[in-house]
Amino acid sequence: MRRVLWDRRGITPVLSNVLLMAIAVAGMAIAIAATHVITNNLRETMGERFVIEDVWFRSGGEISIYVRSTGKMPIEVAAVYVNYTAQSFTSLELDVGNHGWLNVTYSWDSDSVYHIRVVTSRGIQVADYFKSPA
Amino acid sequence: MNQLDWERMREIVKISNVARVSANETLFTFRNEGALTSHLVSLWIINSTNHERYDINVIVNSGESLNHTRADINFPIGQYAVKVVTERGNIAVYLAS
Repeated sequence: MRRVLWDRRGITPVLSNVLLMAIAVAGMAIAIAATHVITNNLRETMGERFVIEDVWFRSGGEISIYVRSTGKMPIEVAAVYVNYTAQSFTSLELDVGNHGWLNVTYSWDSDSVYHIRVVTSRGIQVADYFKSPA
Repeated sequence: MNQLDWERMREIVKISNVARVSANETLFTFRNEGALTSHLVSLWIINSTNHERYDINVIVNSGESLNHTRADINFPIGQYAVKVVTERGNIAVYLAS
């Protein structure tokens, strides 16, 4: 009886199998988590769309940009570039289908063409040329 | 390109006419020349000094024209532009005076 209890033969294969299973489960968990994170980011980025409905060159050195979220994800404006230079602006977050003014401080000249680019926090951007009034 | 972009590319909406039918009523005629039903969500009246936006909720089927009458729009004097925006983000512009 004592000999049977203290016989260690056969324990090593059991331990190795358990260890192997633990490694396999951990590996699968990491793979599933990584896939979830990657696809979630892709889904968010691919579902984010917006348009510039209107650009209004206001007196007093301000450009108002009307933005509409047309995608399937909310958007947050992270940067506004006028003629490839970052400008200060009022923060704007839009839910799906929402719209609003984005005010940019910029001393514009009349009868000039400006390249305006709006970039969201996920990196989606919309850019176009707009002409200021004469 | 995903479905959002594909649908947006296939959508073609035009403003075919803007006419004042009475002292305070204006008739807008929208034409959908695309393959998909369009949902118009914004109407802009723009001149050199003011940009006025109005909410609209108009659906134009593919290949159809639709008349839309508004009584709450103040038209500017002189030249102005009428702009309509679809839910997918396409824009149609009509210049008038």
